[in-house]
Amino acid sequence: MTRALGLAVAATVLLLAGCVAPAPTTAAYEAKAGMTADAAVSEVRTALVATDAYLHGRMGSAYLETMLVAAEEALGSVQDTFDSVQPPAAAGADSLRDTLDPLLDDAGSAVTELRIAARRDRDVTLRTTAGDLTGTADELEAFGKQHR
Amino acid sequence: MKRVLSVFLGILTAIGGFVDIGDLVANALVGSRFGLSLAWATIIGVAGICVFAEMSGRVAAVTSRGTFDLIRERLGPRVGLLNLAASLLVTLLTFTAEVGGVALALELATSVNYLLFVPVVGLAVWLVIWRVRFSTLENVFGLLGLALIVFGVALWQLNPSWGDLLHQIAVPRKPADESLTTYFYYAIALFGAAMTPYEVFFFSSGGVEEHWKPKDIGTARANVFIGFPMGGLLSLAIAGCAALVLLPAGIQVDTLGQVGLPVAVALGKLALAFAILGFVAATFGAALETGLSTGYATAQYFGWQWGKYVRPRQAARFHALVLLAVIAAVAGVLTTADPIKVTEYSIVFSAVALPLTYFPILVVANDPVYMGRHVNGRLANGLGTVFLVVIVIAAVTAIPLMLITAAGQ
Repeated sequence: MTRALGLAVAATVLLLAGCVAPAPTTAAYEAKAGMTADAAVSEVRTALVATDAYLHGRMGSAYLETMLVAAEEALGSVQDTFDSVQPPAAAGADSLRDTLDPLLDDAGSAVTELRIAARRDRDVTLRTTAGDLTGTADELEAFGKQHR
Repeated sequence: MKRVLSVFLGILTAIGGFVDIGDLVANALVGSRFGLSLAWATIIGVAGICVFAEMSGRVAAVTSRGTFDLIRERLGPRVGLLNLAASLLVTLLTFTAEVGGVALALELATSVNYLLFVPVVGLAVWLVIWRVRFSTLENVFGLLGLALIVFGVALWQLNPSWGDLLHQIAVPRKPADESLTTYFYYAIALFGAAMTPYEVFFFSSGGVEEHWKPKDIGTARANVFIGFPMGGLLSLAIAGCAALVLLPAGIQVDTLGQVGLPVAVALGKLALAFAILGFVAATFGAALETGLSTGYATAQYFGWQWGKYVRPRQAARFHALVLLAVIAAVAGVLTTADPIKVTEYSIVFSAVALPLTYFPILVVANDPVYMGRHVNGRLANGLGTVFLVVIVIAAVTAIPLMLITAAGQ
């Protein structure tokens, strides 16, 4: 009985550790930053591919809007999760955060712009915002590769 | 001629009804991260479900009794209850995911938040189960599910290097940036998605609903050995599309919209509309199957009258169970738990429960007292045993791999 309880506690701790892992070292924090950037790239590229399909008449506005709303929410969640991690007291960790957070802010804002433009049927805004977002996506991708 | 048409219709509905939310999500997700290097897991899973669905269909045709009825009688009430509890939990989780999947598909068509559709979907599922004839619901949603063939067309239209795709399948190689544990975690997810227990319960209970006799074993085998592998090809097409469009862009699937994105890129609006129709049909059809399966399993275990081949008044407890399952599934989605995450967990927990589902089927199909001259032959027993070993390995490793990889992160 005690053994089973111990196993259950261990499993719970492992599960929780998987959800909100602390970052005791700069290396661990860097790995989290890299994963965050990769997750953000996934959402940003989703928004870009969907917008491109819409602008080429390959997707309806309802589908695009749904995808942009999902990407916007997911980006917000990705950033919240990263920001909730306590970085170690080291200059390297602060530098990582200072680089990644503005990129995440830019990506989130641009996807919000895309969502607003899609709802207003403003194709020009969609096109220009998507162009800007492509640059942010490339920077996030490079960050992710560098800190994987 | 009528028999040929009946077999053909059965095969078509088996193809269209094979894919559910688990297959859609798991194959697109894995394709977007691993290309087709995990196609072997889908192929093994499809082969496994063919082996056991054939057995359960044969058992239904020979005995005209439900699986759980026979399991309780053959293995005793305790083992039967354990089997029932595990299967019911997994089926309810899958049912919740399917209801969420229908709502998500409707959101893609309308951009109205999926949560608003959930009660409507629940009501529609219950009404269809209550009012519509078994053969009608099975055929209509199975045939509409064929709209997912659009993924095969999209794959062709994307003009891939077929040699490269076949090489990925034939010589699987883990991507360099993925860990071995994550690779095998998703292998188990694909295996669990292909071998979802409810599919076998529904198939065999459906046989009883349609009054299969030993002379129908050939029809059942055609459905299984042609329809299921063709459904498996649809799964591979979904993974292939994701591998060609999403993987190079660094997109990892976490929404149903991303699953359909390659279709839009390859074929445009009309094809995307077919994909959405396919999503709705596949998930709604699977919601009917899982909803019915909860009623089938429980009523068969307790020996209550079950099925749609009798009037609802004669199977009141069965219909009450189905209604409770619908309410539970709707409530589950309304907690705002992400249906895609629920799907991911449901297929892994399916893998954990697989031995409890498939071992008793092997035992019953191998018992001459029940099966007479239709008892398992050497080939069926050999294949059944081999797949049972694979199933046990998947079941034992699923939870540890889930913990180690933080659910495939």
